[in-house]
Amino acid sequence: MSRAAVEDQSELEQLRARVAELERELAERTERAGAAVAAAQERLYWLDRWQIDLNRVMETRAGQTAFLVAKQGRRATRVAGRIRRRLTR
Amino acid sequence: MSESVTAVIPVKDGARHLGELLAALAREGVDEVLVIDSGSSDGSTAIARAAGATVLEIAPAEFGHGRTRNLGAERAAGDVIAFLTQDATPAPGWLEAIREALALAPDVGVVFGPHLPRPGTSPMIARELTEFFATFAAPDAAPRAFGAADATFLSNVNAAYRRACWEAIRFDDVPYSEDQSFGHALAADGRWRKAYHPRAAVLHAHDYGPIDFMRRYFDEYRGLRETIGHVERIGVRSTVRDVRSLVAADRRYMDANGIAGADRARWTGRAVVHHTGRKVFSALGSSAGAVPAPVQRVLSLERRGDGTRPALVHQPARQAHHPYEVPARALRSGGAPLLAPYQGMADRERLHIAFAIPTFNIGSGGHNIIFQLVLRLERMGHVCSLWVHDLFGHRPGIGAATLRREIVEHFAPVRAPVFREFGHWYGADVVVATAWQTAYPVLELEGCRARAYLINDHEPEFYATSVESEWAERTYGLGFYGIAGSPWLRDLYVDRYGGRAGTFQYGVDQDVYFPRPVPRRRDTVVAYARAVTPRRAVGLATLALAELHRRRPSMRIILFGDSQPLDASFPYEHAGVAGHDALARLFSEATAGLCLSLTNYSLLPQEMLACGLPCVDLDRPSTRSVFGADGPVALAGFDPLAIADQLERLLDDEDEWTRRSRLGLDFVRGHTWDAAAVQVERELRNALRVLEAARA
Repeated sequence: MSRAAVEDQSELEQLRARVAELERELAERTERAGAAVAAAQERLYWLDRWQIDLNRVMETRAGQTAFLVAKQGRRATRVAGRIRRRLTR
Repeated sequence: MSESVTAVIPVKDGARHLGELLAALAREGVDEVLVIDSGSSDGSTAIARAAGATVLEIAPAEFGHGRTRNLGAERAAGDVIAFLTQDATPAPGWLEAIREALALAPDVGVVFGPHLPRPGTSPMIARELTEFFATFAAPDAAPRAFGAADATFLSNVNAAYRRACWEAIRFDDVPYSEDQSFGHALAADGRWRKAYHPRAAVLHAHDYGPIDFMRRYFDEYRGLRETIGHVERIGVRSTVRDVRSLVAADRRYMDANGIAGADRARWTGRAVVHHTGRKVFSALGSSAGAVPAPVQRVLSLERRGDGTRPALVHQPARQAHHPYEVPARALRSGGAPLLAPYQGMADRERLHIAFAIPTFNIGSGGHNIIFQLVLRLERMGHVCSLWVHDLFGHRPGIGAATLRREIVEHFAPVRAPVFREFGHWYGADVVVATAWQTAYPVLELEGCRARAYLINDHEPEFYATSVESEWAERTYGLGFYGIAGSPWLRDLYVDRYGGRAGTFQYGVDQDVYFPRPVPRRRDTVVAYARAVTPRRAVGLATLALAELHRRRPSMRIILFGDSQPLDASFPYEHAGVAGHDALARLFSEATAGLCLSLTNYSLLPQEMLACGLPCVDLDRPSTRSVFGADGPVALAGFDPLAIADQLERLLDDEDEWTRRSRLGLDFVRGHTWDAAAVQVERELRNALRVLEAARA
């Protein structure tokens, strides 16, 4: 085999190896993306099941009010917790 | 700049009011007047020409209320087309009112106005017109737009249409009441609204003699039956009650308008005749189909005697797309090109395999096969994704997250993401169609290295000769690499359709289906009887069971597979759609199983065998190719007596029962889903290898 042919062969092997590497990366990326979608679908299950579009709900006055009530409730719970921790320290 | 207006007036012998009408239109400033004459002999055309109107003459036979108005609209140049009848004279301010009403909103497509009684009109008609149109008026006499939920009334005696609205709906070619039909269509279409303006008025009244009035009502209600299907009912008591109330209303109107004394008494008598005649002739018109033609001609003012024509009711478009657009398009275009193959692509360790699946219900056997395979392919290191295609919209509103949860909870705990349809398609090494409905969208998907077809049955046989059977059959000529669920299916795909294919064997979940520790009874036949799946030959199975019951009345028969109990000629126990665990117990307890398949074999015989239960199936190429002629499953011809014989043999012959049971347990030992997935993986790689070889 001539030297040029050997070089060509070697370059071809390198290119094949590179393609294989890229394909592996692509498979991993696809798997990660698929896993992320599947995990999101798991989290969204009940909203999807009840066909609730939270973005649309939050555009309504009732949605905004419920959100504010929940926010204030969380804040009050946090403050109460802080006070309790101080008192029991 | 205001929209130009064309007035279109269908005319036949309308000379009496036509001159006055055309003069009124000139006064109002209408841009164009088009008179369509259908054979007048009273000089109407000359009057129209003298007034500067464009005259279009048509043969009397060509006239149709909808057809002729469509013709007028086609010939009209105006942006707005106002239809008037030959005896409707616009009142001053008519055109301005129409423009005002159209300006209410861009989606106002039609404007109509009141019909005012001409001087001398009978009080019944005058009152009726006044009271009827008052119901449309806004309290402040301003124009008013109506929504789709409001009354659909529309009258082409006096109505103006935006051209775009007319073009979108057009008049139905009906002999009568084309305006009511348009009103219905307008409401159903939803894109356009109508408006009423009390000042867009015309002087108009149909004042006939009492007999002619009745004949006109006959025509009118016959037309309503033909166009919108309205049927006017009549009863003695309701007629008396209605006539009394209408006559009282007429008398109040007369009082309010200074009609007194002998005139009042005379009109009261006329009112009684008028309203009674109207009730009777309206009902007669609705039932014109039952009236002989010569009688109809006598009853009709139009002298038409051909009964009621079939109701031609306008139907709006209800689908954004026809479900079969994709198959038709894919067959025409041949689909998207595959990515260029390269050497070694079939032997890569990890493949991205996308499964296109039809929508499903929990318990679907075909889907169970797919999800069991996906689970194992994932365990083998491949990356899978699931694409659910709902061609017929069987499960609208069900989202991908819900579908995924159903798969994980009821079929197999796959890791794959689930997508509804192909809007987020991102390519795959191999895309797998799994039913004929999915093959066409799969053909159009881009970014794929190979296409495969998981063939679980010969689907054209699911249908009588039909569009569906044709679509199903044509998928076998799309060039997919076939992965067939039995040697019979593979041979069919290769020999009849000229495709390339490999095969795989269905697995059995042997963690669920195994001989349970329950006593085996000697008197129980358990049979699959899902009547809504014709290929499972339930009619034949029940015939065989009836014969078995005749021979052995004390035999216990259990039917399963359908939520509804079946009407049978023998007593049985109904197990409904049993879960896997309950089925395994049932199979472990029974003496013989029965599950028939007319096309490809079912998973059920294998599951019965896995529980040590010998069973009977039909002797078909598919079952023979899988179980052999005298293997674990006793095969019978298409004959209820032969099936009953086979069942009876399993019940009576203990050696035969033991032989079949052992053969069955041996048979299923190698039939695991892991083994099936290895075979499917081999064929997926073959699908890529074939393309690789073709390139080389």
